[in-house]
Amino acid sequence: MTGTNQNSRIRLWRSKGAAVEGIPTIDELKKTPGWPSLKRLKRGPVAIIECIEEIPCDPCEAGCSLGAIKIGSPITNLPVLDEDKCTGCRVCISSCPGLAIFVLSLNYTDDEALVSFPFEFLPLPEVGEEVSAVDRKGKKISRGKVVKIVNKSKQDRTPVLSISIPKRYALVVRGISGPKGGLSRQNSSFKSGKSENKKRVLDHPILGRQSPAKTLRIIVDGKKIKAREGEMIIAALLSAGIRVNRFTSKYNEPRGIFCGIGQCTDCVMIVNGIPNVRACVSPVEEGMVIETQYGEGKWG
Amino acid sequence: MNRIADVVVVGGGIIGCSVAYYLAKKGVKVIVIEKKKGLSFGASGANQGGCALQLFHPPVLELARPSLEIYRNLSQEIGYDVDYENTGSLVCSVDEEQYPDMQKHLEKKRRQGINVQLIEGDRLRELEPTLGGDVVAGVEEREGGIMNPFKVNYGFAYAARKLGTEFFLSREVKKIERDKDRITSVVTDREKIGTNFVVNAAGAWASQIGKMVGISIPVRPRRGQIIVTERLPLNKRWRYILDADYLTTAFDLAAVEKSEDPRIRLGVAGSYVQENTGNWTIGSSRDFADYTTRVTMQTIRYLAKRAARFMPKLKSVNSIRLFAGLRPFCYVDGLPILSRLNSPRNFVIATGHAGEGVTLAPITGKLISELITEKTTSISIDAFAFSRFKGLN
Amino acid sequence: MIPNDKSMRKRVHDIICRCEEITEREIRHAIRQFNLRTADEVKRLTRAGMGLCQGRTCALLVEKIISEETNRKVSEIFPSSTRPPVRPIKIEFLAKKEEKES
Repeated sequence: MTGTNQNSRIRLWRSKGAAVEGIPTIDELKKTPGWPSLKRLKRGPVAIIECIEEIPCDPCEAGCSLGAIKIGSPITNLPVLDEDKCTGCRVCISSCPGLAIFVLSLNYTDDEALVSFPFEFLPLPEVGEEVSAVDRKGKKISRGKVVKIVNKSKQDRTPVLSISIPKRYALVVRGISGPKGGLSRQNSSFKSGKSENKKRVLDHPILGRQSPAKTLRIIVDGKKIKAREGEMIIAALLSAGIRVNRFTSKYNEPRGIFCGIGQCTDCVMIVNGIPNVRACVSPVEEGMVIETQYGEGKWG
Repeated sequence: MNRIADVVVVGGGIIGCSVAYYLAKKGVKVIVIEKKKGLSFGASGANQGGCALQLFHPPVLELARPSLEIYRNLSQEIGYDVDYENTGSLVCSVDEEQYPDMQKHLEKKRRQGINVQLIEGDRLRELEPTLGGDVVAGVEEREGGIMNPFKVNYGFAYAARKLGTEFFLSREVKKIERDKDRITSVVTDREKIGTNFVVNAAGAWASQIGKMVGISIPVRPRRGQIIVTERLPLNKRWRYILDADYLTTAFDLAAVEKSEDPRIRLGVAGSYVQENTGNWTIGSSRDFADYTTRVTMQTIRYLAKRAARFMPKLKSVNSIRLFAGLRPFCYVDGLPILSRLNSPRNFVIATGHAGEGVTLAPITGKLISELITEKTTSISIDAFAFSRFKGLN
Repeated sequence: MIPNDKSMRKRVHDIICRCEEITEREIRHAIRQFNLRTADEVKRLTRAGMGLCQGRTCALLVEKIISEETNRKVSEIFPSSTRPPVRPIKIEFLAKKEEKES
């Protein structure tokens, strides 16, 4: 309906701001020293640093070899963009750990702008692919086309994508939605182990290949499970598809891994006869006997 | 701001709230003043919540018995469940040398009219498999029990509030004003409360309140440390188990100070209470360390070692919290002080309960309320009179 | 919006303290019934924070509930007292002798 289209365009510029939603409005961004002037935007590609948090962080300063980004002292300063020194070369984009630096080529063509942004998802799209362009909230705004993908090793696994979009969304579009086919495409690229340990990821596209480790056997509720030496009990359980570690005392509810860092005690089980052992921080041992803990468990 | 009350109770612990409740029941307008941000922040909130009748001798026994009677129906009376359970208690020894003492203890209790029985070690282990091989014999009594001390404290306060009592939190008493031998008002950092009576239920801090009316109250803080364990399945027969040494550490200060055993000198004697949730609280210790509630590794080590002797399975159990509390201990004779002074004649003292505050709270509240409204008490409290401290004032 | 009794009745089972399985309803009722203002008091009367994790998971949630119920900022709520041990430790380790002791 044409009515809705009008409204959705107006809604784009009505987000409630960083303090309320965690997402800055364009007005808030325009007040930061990392935002170039309209005059400079019209001149050619230029960096836009959408950084609003005064935190101790300065990789962008070193990330620009032309010295167009300055933080100075104290380190919590917002980055200042020298729009005259900036050539829009896009090298700084992968230096920001907050993924807050973009490069905009406003007048890429007569009716298109070119937005370059960091993209850390897999699989990467291909040049020429049609994509959905999204705003800072992740909401789809328009169609776009992938023009360039740069993924050099010095970018430390933060590829930079450049997409062409209708010019009127130049200040709004900052990313693309998940690749065609979604996350399921990622799983097929993982090399999994034998069928019994289907959930194991032995070769991860980002974390790399798992180092070889001895296979141990542990017994979980009477069943033998294979485990890797050095891993935590919870990892061995998850690889075998076991997700419930215990049942609670009061409401008999199933619990499994929650925090994973040994704090919440949701994952505790009876190990070698002793209850309340945290599975997420206890390494496996050969012949370990593990049982689902019901309530308080048995005492010895 | 100026206020008026019939009675001002200083201290929002279990004694203060019990006194407030019993007074409020008689239609008295009470204001309770508490210096911390909430109630039960003194010894009332740092204990195991047990009362074993067999630990008491006269004159305190004469108070403990009726107090336990009140506990049987307290939840119904105040309209709030205090988790009272009639678990009874077991005092047992892990040393052969203590066996004759167990016999003497048994006879003494029988003479005092407490229903007790002696059970030998093997039979004890049959009835309660968690007890260890070192346990020689034990004396069991079934009249005592355990309760949730926070719920008792807040329960009394809740019932008192329903009857019109007000609780002023985060207020310290700065001054107590008097006109000759009568107190006229209590001044905090925020208001002045005109009152007819002041009840000093300030526990470990009672002496500071006493100073404000020019008297020396011989109460000092006696620290007790506790280990809390994770939950375990409930014991079958006994969930309140005491070390025979407890009779010494709790009631014989001279023996504690003279002892050659460093453990006894720190006042460490086993006291094990299993709450209805399954957690064990492992006590007890007694030492004087001013007003600090920090735990010390030395005492904790003794507590853990002693616990392992009585219930060896505790060795592989996790402790999840260590804390300490300050008992209000009367260093002259170790007995509570329940008394109305002659001068000022409207100053009432209700403190010095040491390790028996939870047990004696109901009866204390009742008797103090009688002392104020009727001048005589249904049970004699002469043994706890302030006048026994001759030469102190 | 602070849930009133009617809306709380529908949300019976929002667990706040995972270790002791204490629901949001129980905590709000305790705060209202006893005029509680500190995290320590809520812990003592509801058991939220007394479980194995000693409040690591629920402390901030409880403080937020107290702040809503008593109309104060979370920064004004006195946090629950922290005590050793930093993580659960077996009684046998607490009982271990030092070399110097006999």
